[in-house]
Amino acid sequence: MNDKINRRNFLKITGLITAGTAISSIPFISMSASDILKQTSNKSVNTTWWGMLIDVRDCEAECYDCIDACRTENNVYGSFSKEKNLDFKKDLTKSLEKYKHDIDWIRKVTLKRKYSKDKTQFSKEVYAPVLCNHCETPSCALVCPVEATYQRKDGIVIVDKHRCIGCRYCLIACPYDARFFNMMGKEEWTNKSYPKRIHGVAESCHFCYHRLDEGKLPKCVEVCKKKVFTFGNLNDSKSSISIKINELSENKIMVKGIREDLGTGPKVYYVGI
Amino acid sequence: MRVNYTAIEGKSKGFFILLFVLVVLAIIGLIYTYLMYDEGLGHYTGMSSRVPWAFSIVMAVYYIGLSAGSLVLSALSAVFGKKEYKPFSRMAAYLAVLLIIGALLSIMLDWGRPDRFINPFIYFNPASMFSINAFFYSSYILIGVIYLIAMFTNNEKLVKIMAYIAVIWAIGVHSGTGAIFGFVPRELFQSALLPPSFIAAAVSSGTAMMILVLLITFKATKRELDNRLIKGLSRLLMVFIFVVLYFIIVENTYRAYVPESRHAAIYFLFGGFHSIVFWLGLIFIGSIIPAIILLIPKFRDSITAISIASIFVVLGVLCERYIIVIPGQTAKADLFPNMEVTSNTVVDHVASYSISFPEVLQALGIAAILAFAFVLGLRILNMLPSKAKLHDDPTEEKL
Repeated sequence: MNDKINRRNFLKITGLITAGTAISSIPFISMSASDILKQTSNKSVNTTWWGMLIDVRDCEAECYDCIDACRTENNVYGSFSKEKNLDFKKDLTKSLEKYKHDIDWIRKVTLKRKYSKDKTQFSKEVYAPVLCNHCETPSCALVCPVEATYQRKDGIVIVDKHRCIGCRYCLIACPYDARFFNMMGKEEWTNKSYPKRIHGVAESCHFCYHRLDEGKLPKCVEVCKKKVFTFGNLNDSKSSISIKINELSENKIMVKGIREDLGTGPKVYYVGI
Repeated sequence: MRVNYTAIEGKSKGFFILLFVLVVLAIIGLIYTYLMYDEGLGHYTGMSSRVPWAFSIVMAVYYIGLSAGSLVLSALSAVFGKKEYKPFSRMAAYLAVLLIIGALLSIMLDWGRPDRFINPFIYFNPASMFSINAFFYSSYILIGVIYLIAMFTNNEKLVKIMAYIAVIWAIGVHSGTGAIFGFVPRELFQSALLPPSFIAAAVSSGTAMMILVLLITFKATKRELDNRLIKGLSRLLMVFIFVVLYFIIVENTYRAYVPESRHAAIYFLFGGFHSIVFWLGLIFIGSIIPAIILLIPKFRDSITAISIASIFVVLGVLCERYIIVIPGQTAKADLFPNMEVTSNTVVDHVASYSISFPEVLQALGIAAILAFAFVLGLRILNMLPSKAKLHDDPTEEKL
């Protein structure tokens, strides 16, 4: 066997390596500091910065209006909550299998205080609608390999469904379990003013951006009879949400996001939990 | 050391039956993959929106581990000066490239939209661990291929350079894969220890797999294999088993000790099927039994005992991959720390996962593709040494 280093071969291969390294490092060259900073908040005073305030003290037990309205508005398949809840009461294990792939962009959680100084509050249940928090530093957008999930200039975190590859890393990264994946490929199209959903991509609440762009409020906010939701521009001191937050803080009532300790900066605030 | 590599003959009946079986398995796997893509993952897999990463991700992570492990073994002679392992370096490097391709296949066929496979290259998000890994994996394949070419053309200098680069890259590939899980804000994922423990498990499983592959290929092709080489590898394997065990102990002790993550640790250690996989699969079968076999002088010199230990380690690391990927998702996120969640419209109930049959078939299909490519490689390329013998007293000429 030829033991000498074949000069021509060596040059050929070294050339290959150089070319290969160059090609594979193109993404890193093209990446600039601004690309990385883009992931962090671009909150500035002049822009709209949508936020939501949920007053769970007003939310009622057997009401599922927001959940069902969200389904219809965004063409999300799934069973409507009334019958579903009846089924769950009847047979839990069977219903678990039946509704395994239901998608709830907004869901309702029943909570009970674990400990409280106030004895009257001890056994009181509260009902909290939980949805995408549209975080200031969204970890779903941070991990998306194709930048399909991104934060709009107004702070809404949305998915570009034509770019998403369906790797589901964002579902893993979201600490709030607020993101979903269309596992079943059923595509209903009840509301023609919002595009039909696409199979095999990630999705989540998008604050009904299609309605916001038309100057309307998100559907869940609109349908709530109890006015649990307050929606508005956090940067505008005259918006309804800013006024309400100011009022509450004057009365020393705590307004907080879910698990703010995670550093995600949720923009859906809660009163009463 | 002069090594004679020859291709296998591949004319026997058994050879063609093997290829046929592999092709059938691969086709079945691909059919199921297509069905999953066409009808939706939910119809065929145990996944749900709460457990979106399932068996194929477990397999992908496992393949990446095996790949880095076999690459390190391939570089034993060039980088770590263990000249006696040179006969295996071609085969190990070829396996390393194949396995990383297998990992990429497992990941991409698991996507909701594998038809958009080009997107990660067009839209590159430098902040995403996935993108960084896409870069690492693809360049790793390239480096592996150049390394192989260098070996096949007997370009010793280039082999040495590429071996060094490949080892460094393997560390990057592994740390990156660990970071996919470790850098995510979920209690059972978030950990800076995941990248290094990934490397440890990778090298351990890679060594065990190489022992098995060597024993099987040399036996099937009736070539001479010096038992001392296998014993040497088994000594390495024993060290790796303890390193993996050390990482597991540190991580779980930390989780159970710190009040913040104690409930997550309890869920992890005693919370269902994954706990059985952990205790029985990883700790007992994957670590303790092989460690005992390789420690006791009576067993550790027997090739049968070594191969049993290797089988156990290979299985044990698969279990390790399972308990990294799955419980991190099924563990409920504690969204309301001082509240008790009494009921929830659906979502929190379904955080359970069990492997479905189509998922296993898909994984088998991908494994069959890899095995097919490996056997074909042995047939076409001069990869397998005609004999692997340890020289008793190597002289200058022989080296």
